[in-house]
Amino acid sequence: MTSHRLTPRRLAGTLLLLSGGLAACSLLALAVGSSRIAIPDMLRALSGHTSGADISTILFQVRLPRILLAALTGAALSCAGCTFQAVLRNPLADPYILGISGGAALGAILSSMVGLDRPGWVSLARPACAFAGAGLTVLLILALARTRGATASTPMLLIGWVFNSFFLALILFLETAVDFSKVRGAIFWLVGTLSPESYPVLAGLAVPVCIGGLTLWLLARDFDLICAGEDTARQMGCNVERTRLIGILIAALMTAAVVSFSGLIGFVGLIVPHATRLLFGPGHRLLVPASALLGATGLVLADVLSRTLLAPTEIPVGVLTVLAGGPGFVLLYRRYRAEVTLD
Amino acid sequence: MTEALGARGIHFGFPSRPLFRDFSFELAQGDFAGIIGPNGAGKTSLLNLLSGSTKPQRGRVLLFGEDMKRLAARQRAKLMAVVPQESHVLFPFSVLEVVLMGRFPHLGILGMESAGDERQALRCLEEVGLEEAAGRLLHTLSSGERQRVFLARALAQEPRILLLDEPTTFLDLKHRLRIYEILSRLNRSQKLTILTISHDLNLAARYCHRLWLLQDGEVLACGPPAEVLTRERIGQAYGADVEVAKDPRSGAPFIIPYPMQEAGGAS
Repeated sequence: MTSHRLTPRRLAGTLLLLSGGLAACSLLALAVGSSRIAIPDMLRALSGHTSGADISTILFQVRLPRILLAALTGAALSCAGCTFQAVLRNPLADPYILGISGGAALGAILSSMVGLDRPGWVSLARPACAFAGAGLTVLLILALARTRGATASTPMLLIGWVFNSFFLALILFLETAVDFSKVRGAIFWLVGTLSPESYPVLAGLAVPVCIGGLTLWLLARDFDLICAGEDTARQMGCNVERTRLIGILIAALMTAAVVSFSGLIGFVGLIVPHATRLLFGPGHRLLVPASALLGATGLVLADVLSRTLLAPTEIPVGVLTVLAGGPGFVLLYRRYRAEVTLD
Repeated sequence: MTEALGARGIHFGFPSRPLFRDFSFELAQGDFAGIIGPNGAGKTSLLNLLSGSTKPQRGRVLLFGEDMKRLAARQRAKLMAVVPQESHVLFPFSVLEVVLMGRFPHLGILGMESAGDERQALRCLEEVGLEEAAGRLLHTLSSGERQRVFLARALAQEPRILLLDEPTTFLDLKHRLRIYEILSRLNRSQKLTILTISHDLNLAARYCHRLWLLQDGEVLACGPPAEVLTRERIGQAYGADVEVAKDPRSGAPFIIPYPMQEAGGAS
């Protein structure tokens, strides 16, 4: 939709606006929940004034950690989606469809089952096993889809989809065969739920998500060039193979990190990049960070709905990302469909 | 003659069907040259080898005397640009965004284009007569316009050599002429070295200064169009019966094809 080049000013302006939106939605998420907290009380607590131990416990030990987890998860999945769609040159690619989320979930579940997932270990072993699961899945898909030296994206998606279905079935099988109370419910893994994590764990999650996101951002122009065609990108000076390998590995790492804490939240990685493209155009220097911010905002809002719609019952957040995101995306697509295509 | 692009003793092909055996090639600086030949003669393979898209199994490709293997992708992109036959750009990029991609080898680490880069891109669009279309989305353009956008993107790289893989295949008469007119002007005014694959023998004959006629990975003939495009050679390469006339305005050879006669015909 944009005719002029991306200036640093437009980039900064757009990202500031989206950050403001994320901050506003996070404040809303802080205020809303099973126990009502008046906005003035909340603002007082946020600004450091004491307004009762209950209020600050609810705000800082229950709601804020969950908001942070939601934001990190949404940002990571959206960045990963942008990356897979670009480097595989396929608008259908995302970490869920490629089976990478499933591989990560399986790794995390196995680590819990063999008892690695104990207090004290939790911040390291489970994400590490999730990354091993995601990494092995990526390597297997790359190896299987490699025909005559070139990696084609359609076989990758097809094989990835087979892997994804296989992993989901395996998770359900394990749930039936093994006492799952030791782990977490199948719904947690298959649909995705958010729970408050401790701040050190959140910090440990934020590091790979932020470093990964920044690295992907530095590759953004290379992603643009790959969209114009692999050979063409090479002729314009892009190292396609290196870009693709780094992009896939980092996106898998970010996916694994968030899946080990929030389970398999589908749809975000596929839809958020497309929605962001409809709003801000396909250039990745804006698309990658804007998708991250919109994905974070979207998941924070979905989490608010999951806590409030059927309160005190909580709806798994992965159910809401699809229930709210699906119709929302269709509306957005209808608005732009005259001019813009998705591929 | 200063060589812009060359190949020395390259071998390339599949084990079951070797294509190039000890193949050598020289393109002079400032030349406007064409590669012609029947389907499967190795035209696109040769262009891919010369552009660095594929690596020869043996031998060297030289870009201004420098071994292609030793050039980083960005360095190469500043010296040589390629216009593809047809290409699908994923996602709705605008025309200006696509042309700006050509500035990639000139960008710094942050990868942001300056106002100067934008001016350069607009100049390249002007060069191909599409400055009005800068803000339009690429996929809303006709195929003739799109091909000119890809030409503008290649020019935005500020290359010294331009390679084209049959840039006019899907274009009508007017747009074919338009592309060749632009190329001819760039060759004259900017001393741009041009090498293009062509299926249109008559356009190649009129615009190119030199032609290579390929067959089965070998050069059947090489030289000015009038020397290369003879009845015997074309008959041999394409397996067709042709008459070679003279273009009444430019004096270039003009080829009229006929179906091959049942009993032996022209070869």
